[in-house]
Amino acid sequence: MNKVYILRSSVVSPLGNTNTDNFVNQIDGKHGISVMESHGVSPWKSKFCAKVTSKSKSTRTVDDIAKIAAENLVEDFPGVLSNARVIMGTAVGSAVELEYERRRNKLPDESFFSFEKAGISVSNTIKSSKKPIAVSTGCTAGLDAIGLAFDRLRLGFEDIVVAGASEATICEIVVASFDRINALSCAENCDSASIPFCDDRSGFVIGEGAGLVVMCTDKYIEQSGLEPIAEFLGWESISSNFHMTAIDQKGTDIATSITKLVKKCNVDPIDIKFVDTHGTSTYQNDCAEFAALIGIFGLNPEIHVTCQKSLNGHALGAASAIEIANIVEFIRNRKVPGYVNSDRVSSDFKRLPFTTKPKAVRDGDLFLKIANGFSGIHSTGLIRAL
Amino acid sequence: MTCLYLNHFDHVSMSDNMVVPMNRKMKVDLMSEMAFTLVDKIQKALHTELDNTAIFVANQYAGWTYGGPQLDAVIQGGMNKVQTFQATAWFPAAIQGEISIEHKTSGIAKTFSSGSWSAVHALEALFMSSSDFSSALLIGADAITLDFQKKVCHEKLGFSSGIYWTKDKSPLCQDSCHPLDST
Repeated sequence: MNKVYILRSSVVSPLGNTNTDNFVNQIDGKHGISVMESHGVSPWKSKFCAKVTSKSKSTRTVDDIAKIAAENLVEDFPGVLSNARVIMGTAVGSAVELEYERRRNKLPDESFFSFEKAGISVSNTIKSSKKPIAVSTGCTAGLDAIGLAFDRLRLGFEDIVVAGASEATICEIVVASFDRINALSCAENCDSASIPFCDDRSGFVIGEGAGLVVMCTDKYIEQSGLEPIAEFLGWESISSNFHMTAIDQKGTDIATSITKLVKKCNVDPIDIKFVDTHGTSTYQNDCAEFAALIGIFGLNPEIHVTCQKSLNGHALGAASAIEIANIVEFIRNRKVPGYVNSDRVSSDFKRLPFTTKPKAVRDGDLFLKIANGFSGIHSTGLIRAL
Repeated sequence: MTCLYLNHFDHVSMSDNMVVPMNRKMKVDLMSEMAFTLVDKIQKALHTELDNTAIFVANQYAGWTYGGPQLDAVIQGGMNKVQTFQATAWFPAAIQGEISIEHKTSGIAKTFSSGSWSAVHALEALFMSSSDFSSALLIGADAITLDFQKKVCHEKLGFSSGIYWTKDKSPLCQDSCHPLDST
């Protein structure tokens, strides 16, 4: 079996279109949440969104956003990525374009029904001739794409993979889908819109963006001489068979996914130093995730807990890819941000050691990433800092 | 590489009577209705429980028989006209969720939407998976799309096929049908 390494990441998010912007804003605790403009006949119930910004276009599409992220990688690795397989996740595909065309009374292009546009965009940008793989597992799609890349690399089916996810979400049909089931934040103030684990949270802020990681085998590292940033130790994914949208608040299913993962990777949970939560800011997720983490890690004060959606919103399928790409950047910069709302965390969840202070990364530190999604999917991944 | 034995193949078309659990009627797209019917057929043929079964789905499109009218509703009547099940009925992974809940499967489940390559990628992922499962279902959903805006973008094809595999050899297995060798 091959070992799997991460060479580089690329993040496009409401915090910025480069890794540097994303890292600096996260360390400074700045959020990318703003007022959402409605294009439809009814006003939004949820007032805020976390939107990717661009000087050239007011509305981004899933492939536009993916392309920006891929261009950043090509700048870092000119000529290296043309042999890479692309594995991309998305939850809602080209919903923004479909709705736009429908509003104009136009028959949409057939490609707008496809979930492949982000992968094709990345493949074209890095000039890869390999058929991209599209993963459409809702809100865990990013971590799932990276996990599936791990499986292919581990068995030697690929030498190098660009994996991640992209999402464009800000359109009426997507927002309405989540608004109708009361999943979105009802906050009146954008500073309080996405506050996972806090008393006055009311749901998630819909976001968009893309996260990519370049993954390769140990043999590729030896041959290329490139220096990896992290090792991807493994991933796990289970079905809760509980409910299409609800999570068992005892956290059993999240805990099962983590337990299977650490066993598979031969890791003791006490050695995990950083936990990046799914942290949507919904009551159900927060309760389930807290119960799972307390059950596995107990009251370990050494664990550093992060909630990236508090700044980035929830980019559905791209969320976990953005968060993993950011973790890689934290490792590269040897610093992980704290949780900006630590002082507002509900007394129910205070047993998790939230802090506003950034924490230094050392060689060998282990990062656990958690992602939960509709259809009862609970995926987890483990990354080691090098 | 996982070694699997093929146990059963089945398919469902629009001419079959749909077998949809009572509590899911009107809440799912036709693609999920066909998957319910398909898995019911497979289970009846094999007389087996699916609790530790992995589910890999090849689903090129989303569920537009449900989602199409919702898109029209939101544009014409506003977001309050959208049905509350839009988020769970429309997305391609709806099938894996509905089947895992109905049949209490707890294994890995993943959905691939790589155009005409979806089934290849789903099959590869199944055989490359490091997850623990005793059997696996590969479901191909020929997505049911819509006559968008009264013009036909995609015809209603309405076909779903499924293959059931097990890790252990059973009397139902066909010796020659495990496609990849264990390595």
